[in-house]
Amino acid sequence: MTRARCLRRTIGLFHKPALATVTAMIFAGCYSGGEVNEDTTATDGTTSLTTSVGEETTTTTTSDTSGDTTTDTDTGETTGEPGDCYSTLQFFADEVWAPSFSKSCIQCHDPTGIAAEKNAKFLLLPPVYPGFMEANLANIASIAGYEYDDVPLLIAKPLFLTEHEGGKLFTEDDDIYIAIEELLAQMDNPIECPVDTSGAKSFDDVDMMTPAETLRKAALHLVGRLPTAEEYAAVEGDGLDAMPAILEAMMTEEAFFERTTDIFNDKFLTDKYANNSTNAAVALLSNTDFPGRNDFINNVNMLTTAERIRINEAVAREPLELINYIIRNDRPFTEIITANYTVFNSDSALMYSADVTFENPDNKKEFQQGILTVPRGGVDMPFPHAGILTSPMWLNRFPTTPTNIMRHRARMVLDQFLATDVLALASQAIDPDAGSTVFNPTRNNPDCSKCHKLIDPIAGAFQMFDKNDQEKLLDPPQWYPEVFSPGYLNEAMPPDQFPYGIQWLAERVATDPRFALAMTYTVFDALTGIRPLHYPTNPDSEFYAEELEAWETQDVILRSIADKFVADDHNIKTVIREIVLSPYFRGKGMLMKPSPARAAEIAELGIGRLSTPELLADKLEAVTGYRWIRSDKRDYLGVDYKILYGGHDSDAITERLTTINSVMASVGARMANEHACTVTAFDFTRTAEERSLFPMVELTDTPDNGSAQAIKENIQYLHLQLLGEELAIDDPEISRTYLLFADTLQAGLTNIASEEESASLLSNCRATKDLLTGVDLPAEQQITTDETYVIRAWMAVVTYLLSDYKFLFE
Amino acid sequence: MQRRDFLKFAALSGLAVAAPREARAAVSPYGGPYFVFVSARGGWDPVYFCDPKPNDASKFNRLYQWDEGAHKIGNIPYANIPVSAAGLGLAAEADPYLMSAKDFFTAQGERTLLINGINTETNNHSRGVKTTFSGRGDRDYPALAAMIAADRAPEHPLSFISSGGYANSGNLLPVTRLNSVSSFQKIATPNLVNVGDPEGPTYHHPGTFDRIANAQAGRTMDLLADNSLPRIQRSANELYVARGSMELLSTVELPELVDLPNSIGDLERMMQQTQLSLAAFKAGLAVSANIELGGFDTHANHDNNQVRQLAKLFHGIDYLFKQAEALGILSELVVFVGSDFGRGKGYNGPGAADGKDHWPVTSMMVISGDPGLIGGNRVVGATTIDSQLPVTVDPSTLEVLENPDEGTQIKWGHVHKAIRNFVGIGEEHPLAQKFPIVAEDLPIFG
Repeated sequence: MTRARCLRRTIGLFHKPALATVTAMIFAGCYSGGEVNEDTTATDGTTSLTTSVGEETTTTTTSDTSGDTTTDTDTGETTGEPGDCYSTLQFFADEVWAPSFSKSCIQCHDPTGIAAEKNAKFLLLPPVYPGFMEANLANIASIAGYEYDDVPLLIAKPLFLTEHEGGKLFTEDDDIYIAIEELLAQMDNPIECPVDTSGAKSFDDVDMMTPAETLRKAALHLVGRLPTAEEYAAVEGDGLDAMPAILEAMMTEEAFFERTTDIFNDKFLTDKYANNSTNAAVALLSNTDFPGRNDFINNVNMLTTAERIRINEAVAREPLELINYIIRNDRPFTEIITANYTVFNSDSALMYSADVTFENPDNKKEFQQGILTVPRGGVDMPFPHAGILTSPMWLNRFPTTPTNIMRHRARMVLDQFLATDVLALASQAIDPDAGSTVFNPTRNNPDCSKCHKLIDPIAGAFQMFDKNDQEKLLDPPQWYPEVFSPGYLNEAMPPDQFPYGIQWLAERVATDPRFALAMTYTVFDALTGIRPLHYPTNPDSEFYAEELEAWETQDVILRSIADKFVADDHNIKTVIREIVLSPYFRGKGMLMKPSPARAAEIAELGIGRLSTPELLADKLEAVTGYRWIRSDKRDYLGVDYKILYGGHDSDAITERLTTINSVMASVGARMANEHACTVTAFDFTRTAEERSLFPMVELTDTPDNGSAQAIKENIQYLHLQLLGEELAIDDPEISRTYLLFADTLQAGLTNIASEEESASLLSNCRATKDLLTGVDLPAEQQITTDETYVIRAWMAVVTYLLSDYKFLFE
Repeated sequence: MQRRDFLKFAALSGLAVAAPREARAAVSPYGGPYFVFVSARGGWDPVYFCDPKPNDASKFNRLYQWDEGAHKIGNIPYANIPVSAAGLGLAAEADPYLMSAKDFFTAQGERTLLINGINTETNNHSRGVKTTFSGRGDRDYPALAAMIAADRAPEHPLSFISSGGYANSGNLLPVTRLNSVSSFQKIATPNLVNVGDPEGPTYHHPGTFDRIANAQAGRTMDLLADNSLPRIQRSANELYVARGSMELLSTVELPELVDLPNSIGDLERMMQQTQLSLAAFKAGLAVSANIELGGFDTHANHDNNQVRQLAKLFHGIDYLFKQAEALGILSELVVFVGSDFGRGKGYNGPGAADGKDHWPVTSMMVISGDPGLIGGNRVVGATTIDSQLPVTVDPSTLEVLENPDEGTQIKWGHVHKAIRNFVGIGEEHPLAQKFPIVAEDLPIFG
């Protein structure tokens, strides 16, 4: 048996009591449907699953001389030799899980398999569950001491020395036998290795952004602006150590909350009911439960379209504003599902008939806590608020029916808050004939109960809502005896909690370690454009080993971030900060050309993410000073080109495109042409100090009159301003751009001379109004002609840079 | 190696490719065949259109009477359910946009190869969609539509269009979405100030526009040479390839999009997607397109809602063929219509407003403007009368067998393997080797 590769992970499970506990709960719940076995200590006293408590992760931070590398390495409680450490967990993953357990044993021993039905203690979670590998090793640790005739059961069963319904699976000559023996031998004293939680070692061949580059990317991404001089000075002085404070300040800016709105709408898709509609959200609300909405629907007050859109959006955005409120007030992010309140502005309070007081009702940015109430039996019955889980918008966005009975919502809870794709559990083929012969198949047919055991108890938590009218509160709640009882994992919900079942559920979900991972995954995807990797399951893949390594590295880093999130009282800003500082956000190149295998391993890392329409629209304003907007002031990229540029509408299209196509490239070209036309002449109407684009040149500067150096310096400035490229004045890229300017100027002058082109500017490209105020410029300040062709030459440069790879991609 | 082969090779390796600019300009129009994959999202009920069963309130048909001998158009059986807007709870304005199964097969039956009794092996939405449109549910395989486009014209700017349905491209080529004629016109001619005036002013003189494009191309090539970060290599290549053919977008002649009553907005969207996809086919820029109509997950009100959505679906598909004929590309059109799974078996309750739940047995329709291509007016496979279970077929003749212990039960693997052979992605093809399907060969296409 040979070692597959150098391994870097600690065994981890002994440091993750919460994860181990939850895993035990999953196992126990799925198998026995009964209580958790609190004491799983084996006869020989091997490690207890639920009582092993390790030390907190130790973190060391070092900075190199440039201040741009931070290394976090978990060195606590490790037992392996540094440098060439091969942990027990890794040994299990390589030599036991991959070749055998993941293929044969799991067929019966997964939480809903045949073995599970018979209360077997040997259980294996599939990769669908975050943390499955550690959980599986923990399970093995818990049963390692069980023996039959002095032979460990884990070997005796598959050797068929004792009863085993799976029969004889291997002999004493097989590699897997030897591997399991070795694994069991290690169980007494598991080998643990230092963990590279920062990725510094895993990505030591990757060139990372400088602190200034990291700052620029973070500022554009999080708050849609360029860094201030003070922020640049801070990172130049203190390197990345300055970043946490800068990011903390950024995350209080109003623009940041527009970004978080986008991030979480990508997940919850409740903007389906906003989308510039005059009533889509309000119309969902019951006219008897929320009578405040009736005058609006009938437009009794003759509101304008703009007012109706604003009010409707206030209702549609209620769940996303709750999330923003939690972030803004530094509340634990668990409140997105546990808050016993929601938030209103004066518009949404009116529609919901909510009793909320505002300091300034005209300020639609003012949000106050409140609760929803509905009339029942002559009194006001309060909603059992559980963050967005009880938001009428979320409930409508993920609707149910009388036969679906909340299962859709249960699946969403698992997917959105527990990073668990329950549909992926249904990996085995269904036999239609077998299913049809079983009474109440969701409970009694293993093909069906496999998923329903997990889904239906969670679905039961939503029983206080009507199955037809999505947000209608029932009094009393209603559940079904033929369906699995309401609960979570193995824990049954007490009947007296049924009216508040979502709250009961939310408390448990919020403390499930998968919640922290799910939130980390959401932010990671949003900030890097990288989908968290799935555990690779195709060993025939050409680069399987590298795919596995990539997953392991990413898993370690994201878990580490999730741990910090929990340790910081579930502060979501901690997750954002850690991801910004991670190699996934900061990688910008390779220190050496990677081999094909290495390229496969780091395929999803660093810059190269296509900007979303929303990010691109903000970036355009950040670097040029002006947005690309329609006559109604709405962003072209938010309306006309949103879908064509790969965005979604939260409704029929819910996924973003991440690969650029010809249509998207053409949108980029149109944007660059139109915007260069709009801003170039106008920028020259301002004083040099006020200009965003041309602070170093005047319209009189041409290559022929000794201004070549000034032109190059402005080009150098534009590369930095628009693309973030810090280039030397003699850099070939400066020369390329200069050549574009000079050739365009020369050709243009020739064309004017031959009357192929006019000396006048196109009307669209003339500077006659202030772009920010819309006010006519004084006649002497207006620019309508371009006899020297200088404006059009600069337009060419601006178009060139605004459609550049480094502008379109982050 | 020919350029096209090179692109195919690049697609197989998961990378886009930086073709020389002069070569990119030489992309020739793709002349067909064109492939459309229609997804009836949510899980349709074949019993209500192409796999009819006897009326029996205790089983799976409370809605219509079935006469096995009479209710056939050619060889295609149909569920004889009359449709009307009033009967389906829609405003009368929707009537022209609804079509019964009988009318549909009357119009399209000669062109239709119907596969009944497919064992989907799942009744899970996401796995069902993935399996139906990729051939395997246990792998993240690309959509068959993407594979066909990647095989035939990966360099064309709209090769694979998808505004719904299973759109996994497997990194073989980019996915394109189309939704607005006016916006598309503006980006198709990005240098033209007013798209209504094709001879009018441009933002940049054409010479300048070319100069900018050349500078961009040179800069991107230098970036690719200088920076070997895999993500940059991949995305810069993709941008380069995308730019290489974007000038062809101006050759698409876009129609005025249909405007249907609000009550059937979902059908309007389907028909608009049809219009845009056909325009892309006609221009020679597209190979395959996904089109979707939702609303088939009828756990409640099945007898109304399922019939309503089927009536819209049939109108939409019929419209697709009529428009293809009007554009002169009918004979090049091959359409695959499928759903997540079937529904049943039986109702989930005794009331008129009850629904049908998920059922892992379904059907597929393959419809071609050239019936000879697929062998139209044929039915392969069946389900049992009493239990709506798949019936086995003789693997050589496809004859339906009475003994369930003999022959082969049709599964998606069989269907996809047959389609792959039909479209030229047989077992020896590199794409088939990269995304293998293990299944017996069934002569579904003859």
